[in-house]
Amino acid sequence: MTTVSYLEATRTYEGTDVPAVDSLSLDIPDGELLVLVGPSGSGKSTALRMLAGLEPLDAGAIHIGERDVSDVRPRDRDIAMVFQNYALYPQLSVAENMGFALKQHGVPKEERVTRVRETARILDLEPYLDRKPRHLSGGQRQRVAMGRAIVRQPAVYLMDEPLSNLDAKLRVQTRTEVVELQARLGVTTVYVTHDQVEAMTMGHRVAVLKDGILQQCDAPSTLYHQPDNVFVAGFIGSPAMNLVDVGDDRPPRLGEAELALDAATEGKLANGTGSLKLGFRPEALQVGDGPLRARIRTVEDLGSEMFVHVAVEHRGEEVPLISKTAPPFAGAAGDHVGLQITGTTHLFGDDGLRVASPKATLRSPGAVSHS
Amino acid sequence: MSAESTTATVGERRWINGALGGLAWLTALIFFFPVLWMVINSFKSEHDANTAPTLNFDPTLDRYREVTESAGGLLSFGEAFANSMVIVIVSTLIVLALAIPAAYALAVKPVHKWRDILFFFISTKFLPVVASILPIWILARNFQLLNTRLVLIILYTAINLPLAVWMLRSFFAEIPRELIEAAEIDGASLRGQLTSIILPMAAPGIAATALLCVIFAWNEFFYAVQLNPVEGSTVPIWVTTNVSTRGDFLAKLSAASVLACIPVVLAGWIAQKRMIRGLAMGAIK
Repeated sequence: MTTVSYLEATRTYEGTDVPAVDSLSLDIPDGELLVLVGPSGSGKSTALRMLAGLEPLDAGAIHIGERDVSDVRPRDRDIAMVFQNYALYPQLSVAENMGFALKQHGVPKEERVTRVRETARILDLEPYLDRKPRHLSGGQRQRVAMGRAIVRQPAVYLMDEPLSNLDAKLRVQTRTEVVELQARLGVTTVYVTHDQVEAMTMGHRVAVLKDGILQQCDAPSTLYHQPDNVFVAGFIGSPAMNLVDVGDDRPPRLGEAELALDAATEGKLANGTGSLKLGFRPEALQVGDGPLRARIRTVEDLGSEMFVHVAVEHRGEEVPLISKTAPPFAGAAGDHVGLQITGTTHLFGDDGLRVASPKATLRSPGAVSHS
Repeated sequence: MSAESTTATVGERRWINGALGGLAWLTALIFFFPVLWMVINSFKSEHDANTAPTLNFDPTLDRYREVTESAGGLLSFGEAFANSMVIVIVSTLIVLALAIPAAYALAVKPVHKWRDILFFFISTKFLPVVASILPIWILARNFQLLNTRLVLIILYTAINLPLAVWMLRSFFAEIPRELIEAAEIDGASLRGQLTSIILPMAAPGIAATALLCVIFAWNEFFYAVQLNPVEGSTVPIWVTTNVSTRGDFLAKLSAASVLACIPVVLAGWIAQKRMIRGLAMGAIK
């Protein structure tokens, strides 16, 4: 049973005042695949390296299981890491690469050979055991890197963007394989990626980081449907959530239309002052008939779904919005259409935090609320 | 029309490339000619060597026999060769033994103000050699090191060390950081990281560095002639002993020079085989 805990772990690089990872607190239960995701510079890789012992802690602590490993050397942490560029030893064969850690830990040769063979079988690497890394394809090298981690049977796997060097198709395929493998081995895994699709599809839970600060750590669907703040709302989901400043109008207005809210939300908004940000997912925006006038900018047809980019007049500016709809869609660029919101909207306060997530629609000003 | 002009351009370019290639060959031959002339002379008799340059002569190995014969009391080739070998090999080994950990520290785990340290290393090369000879000679005399192999071993080690640290540092810095980190996580000790990961990967760089140290130490003349004119003399000094005030010596000197060149040419040839191997092929991506 291996849990991992970050306890207000902080790391500030030399020569800067801003921590790369700022008081990160995170509990990862045994067997979980936790994904750390964020834009570049968010501190996700630093957080992983702190867990690996490659980056010292300036404050706080990290526990693996019951043990405080904050000052423990990497090799004594019982972890295995898969690097973004694989970091295979070029002068060693595949078998030697995979057996390197076992050799360092004094595992007898016979057991070493058996374990390397077994791992190679799982990963379909048996035909390549005698080859040097330079004679392998990118996908094979990636599997060797995975194999080198698996063969050790460590307490925790750390993976630092292990799929980012693969081409798109192989990446999707390998993604599934990694998830299956992790589920079968049941070993606690911390996985870093900048790709929110990878994060959402792989993680049991996803921790979103920005500027070294943990924004939210939840199951993928919770992140999607109940984002804690504007950043998470905008970062998770593709295409991204529509986010529009609606100021302090009550009820909030979008262009010439206003938002019809339920009484509970209206009550909540009546107490809180300050300007609001309105968010709604592309699938909640219907193009066709509606009280909000818009112009179609482009239409993207992906076959199974369509993205309609529209522009609306809002507070004297042209604001781009995006709608996701199932084909067929008749409109074309330049068409003037009406917009309607159907489904959940999110309202974020001045501080970026989510205030409410009411189901709401748009109506023409002065029309009677039907809610 | 445009197709024609393209063809003309390609043809023109080929002509320019050909001309540049010819020029490069010509330059190389001009530079190589003295060496060739020396090698040819070494197979001539003194008479042939001192008359008009000609390729029409009877090749002979007699000059080689003459210069390698040991004459009593004089510095023999065997003696000088042995001195040079010992001094070159020992000083190069010491240089590598000291420079590898130093370069590792500067490249992989940089200490505070490592740039200043690096500059200090190279600054020791700023001083003209002539300016240092007198204090070095006095020190050598006081420590009774004049005319010993040890004094040249110490000097060549000291002279080569800064350059070796610089060179090795840049080779070590090219090793992907992740490889060292992977080895660290895999449980390798500092020594294990060095011996199983860093040194094999930096082998071409180490070979290049060792080669430079060997070449310098083998060819060094100034310190050797000042400090070891009698005992512990090296091959370059032996070459000059073939300059004679009586009679012709051009062919003999050529033969001696060729003999002095062979070891460094061999060393370069061997090291080159290691150097051309890719440094980090297949390590990443």
